[in-house]
Amino acid sequence: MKDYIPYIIFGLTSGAIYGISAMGLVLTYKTAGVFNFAHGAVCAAAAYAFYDLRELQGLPWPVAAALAVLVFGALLGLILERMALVLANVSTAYKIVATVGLLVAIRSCIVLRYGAEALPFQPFLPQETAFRIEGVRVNYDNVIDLLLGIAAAVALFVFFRASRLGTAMRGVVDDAPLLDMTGQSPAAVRRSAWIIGSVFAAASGVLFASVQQQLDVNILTLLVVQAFGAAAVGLFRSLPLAFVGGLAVGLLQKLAGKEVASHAELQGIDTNMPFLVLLLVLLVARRQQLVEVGRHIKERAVPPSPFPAWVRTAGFAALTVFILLVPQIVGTKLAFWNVTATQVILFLSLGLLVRTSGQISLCHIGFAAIGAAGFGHMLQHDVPWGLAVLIGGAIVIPIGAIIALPAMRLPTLYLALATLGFNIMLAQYAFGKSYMFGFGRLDARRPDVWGMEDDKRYYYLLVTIAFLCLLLVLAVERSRLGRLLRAMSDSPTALTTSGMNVNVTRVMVFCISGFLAGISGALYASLFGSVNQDSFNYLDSLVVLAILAISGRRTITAALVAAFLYKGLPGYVDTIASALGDQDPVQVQTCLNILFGVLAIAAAALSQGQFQNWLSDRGTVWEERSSGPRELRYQTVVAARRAKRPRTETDRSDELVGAGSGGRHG
Amino acid sequence: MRQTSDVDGLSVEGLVVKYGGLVAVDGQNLTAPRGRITGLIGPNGAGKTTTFNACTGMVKPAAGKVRLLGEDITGLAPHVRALKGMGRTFQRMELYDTLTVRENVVLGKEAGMAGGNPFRHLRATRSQTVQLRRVAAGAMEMCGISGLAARRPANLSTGQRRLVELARCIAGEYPLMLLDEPSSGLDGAETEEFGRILKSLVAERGVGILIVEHDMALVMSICDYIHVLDFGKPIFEGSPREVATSKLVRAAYLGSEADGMAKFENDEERARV
Repeated sequence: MKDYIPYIIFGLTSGAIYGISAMGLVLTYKTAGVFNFAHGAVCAAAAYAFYDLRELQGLPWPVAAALAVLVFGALLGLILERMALVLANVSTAYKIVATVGLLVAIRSCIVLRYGAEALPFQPFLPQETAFRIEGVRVNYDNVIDLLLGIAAAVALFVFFRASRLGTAMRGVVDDAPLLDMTGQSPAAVRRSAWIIGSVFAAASGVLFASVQQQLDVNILTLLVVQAFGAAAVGLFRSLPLAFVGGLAVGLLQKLAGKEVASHAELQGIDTNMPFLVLLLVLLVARRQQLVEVGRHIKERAVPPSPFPAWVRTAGFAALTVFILLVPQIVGTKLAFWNVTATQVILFLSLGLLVRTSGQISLCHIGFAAIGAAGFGHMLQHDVPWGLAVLIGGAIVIPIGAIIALPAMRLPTLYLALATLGFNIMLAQYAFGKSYMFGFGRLDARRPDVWGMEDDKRYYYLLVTIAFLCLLLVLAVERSRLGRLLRAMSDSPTALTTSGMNVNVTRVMVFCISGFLAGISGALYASLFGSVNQDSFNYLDSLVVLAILAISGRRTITAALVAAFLYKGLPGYVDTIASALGDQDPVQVQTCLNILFGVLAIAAAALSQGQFQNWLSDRGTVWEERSSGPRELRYQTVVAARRAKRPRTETDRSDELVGAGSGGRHG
Repeated sequence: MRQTSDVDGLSVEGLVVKYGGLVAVDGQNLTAPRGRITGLIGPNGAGKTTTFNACTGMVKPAAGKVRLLGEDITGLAPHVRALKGMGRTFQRMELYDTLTVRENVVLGKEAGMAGGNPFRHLRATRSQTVQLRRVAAGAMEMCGISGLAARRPANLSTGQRRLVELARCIAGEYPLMLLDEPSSGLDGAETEEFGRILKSLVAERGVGILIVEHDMALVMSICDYIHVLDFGKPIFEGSPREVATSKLVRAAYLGSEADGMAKFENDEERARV
């Protein structure tokens, strides 16, 4: 027992911090209906702000803490509230895209200013021994963290039960318009919720950095995973249970850490406890318990192209010629174009999932990595090259099905959570294992025929494979599956009552998407001769989603544009950097990522055609202004005439026609 | 008990549905045999739609049994019930607004073809395509919407949308159809047309129809048998005549809908004179 005490103490300490973070997440989710994937990024931003104020500006820590948590946190909350307000009217998939975009943007901002490397962080809470349990020292900071967490939980609980604003917050969850009618503004209530939620996030970020004694942008950003693991315990609804969940996740993590220390194969599983907790909840919770908060918004169908058919044909012809001429044009940059060709397949795959079925995957880079690993292992067993690529893709299918199945019966949001958790688990646990990338690195080569070592020749092979994948995606979209998917985005209920199991459809498209992602990963690996665990940056699973969102919604162009933005543009970053006056290319790339994140938010905010509506509204207003007075005068004259003379039969029949058609349309 | 478990159609026995503490449906019994139109009426909030949802598996009953063609389907998933032969429409129409009317109707059958088998989700075989085309054309013909085949439901009037939803249900070739307030939002002429289609559907194909409806004139003119619900409890059942003359039903229905019944009685009297 004595051996466990230090782990329990550390577990409760970090658990309390997760709990604070989770309560903030749940509070904002259930009042605003937007699940904030950037919650961890808020934690990170506050921690860095604290570091900046204290270490770089030299403020005393209490002042720095107050500024970072109370002022900076509240400011971020206000910004988030504005964002959530806009997002209230977009589909769940785009809500996720927007907060993921925010995550990417905030993370890149931090990297831009402080670098990607971890920074040392001086703990600010007293480190002296407070007391001993069975001889094990318990420090003041541990005690303070735990007490802070409990105090926050109790305060929030009392606030919700006793205060007027707390009651209003519960009201806004149940029925915002009704609350509006009682004289309480739902917007004001939501604003308070966002401020409290962000302040909680900020506090947990600062405390967590202090416990870790370092600032690592990735670890802090992914604090959202701990938060959602904890929040899952309270089914994303209950604040007290979210705190309890935080403690449980923290404890499990540390205790598992002790247990697995002696088993090499299990090492790394402890850090993924939050994900495993989430998966367990998704498996055991009843569907009615995990309904999504907020109005369900149907995604707007892709409007028909504004260009006439011949323009489009000409455009595609020009594009084809360009693609075929690339090796002749781009010179030394061809390597980037080869990578781009492999990524076209990745974006075709992600686009198929997001666009046709409205689902979100946050583990596509993970799928690509699995595909690459499968491909490499097949090559080791002397499987022919083409077959190895196919097997690399096929291996992802069962894995994708296992990840997707528990989440399929639940709303889109939970699939996004499950895939994000899986993505991180893959990177932190499986990437280092021999079954992924062998011992250190895994050989992956090009086919040894037709002189494929030549980049130009290989480019054409890659383009051909990408084209075949495009045909597959187009075939899916035009087949029965495509029709079922389009129908599903309109009304899953109707399909179910017509005798179809919609979960099967969802899993099918998820698996096809995973298959393509695996192929893209295999081809990507083949470009470099070998792959290791650094070949795939797991955080890029988030970046690719943001990039896809800004590349439009048409199958072909979206995949091409997104692939270029993701892997082609980086080849020209040094050109851009020198054009901007000898900037650091790495910094320029980071700025691009910020841009992708911000644009993804904008794309999500405008996903229901808001911009077009705004334009046409402006158009109408303008028309009214120019022609308005005349119309108005005409109507007044007619009304005056009618008032003077007695009602006739024609008048009445006019009215009847009007009423009849109005009723039919209403 | 009048209900037997081997009714050729739908039978509901002792159905109880609870939402938290609220008992929405309490001890409902009803049968809807094939070849008949059975009405389910009652004031708002009486539990009619809840009964429908329990029949189609969208809510779980706390007690009771639902049988279809003699088979107990109480615990089955919604899509399995549809495959066993029960189609339905919705009070708030569930249409595929971004697809054409023809695709909407086709999917009434095609969704069932896909069912729960992943491989059948992928593509339609040639013979299936032929069958789908035939079934959809027949259903659209019957509802008189063949001319709208290429339009999208989002641009249609409520009356036309109701017909599209009905055609989709007909295309499913279900022996039993549950229609939830099909005439709401329709004007008098449209409602009459709707009633005519339902009658010919029963006459030509011998399907059974269970209909929830507020329009008393429609209910009285097409139904063979009527169940009346109030506050989740069955209060009366009988032929349209018996329902129209029942004091109990009149009491539950004091309000606008009683007019329909009065009109029905007047019509009857006029017919007798």
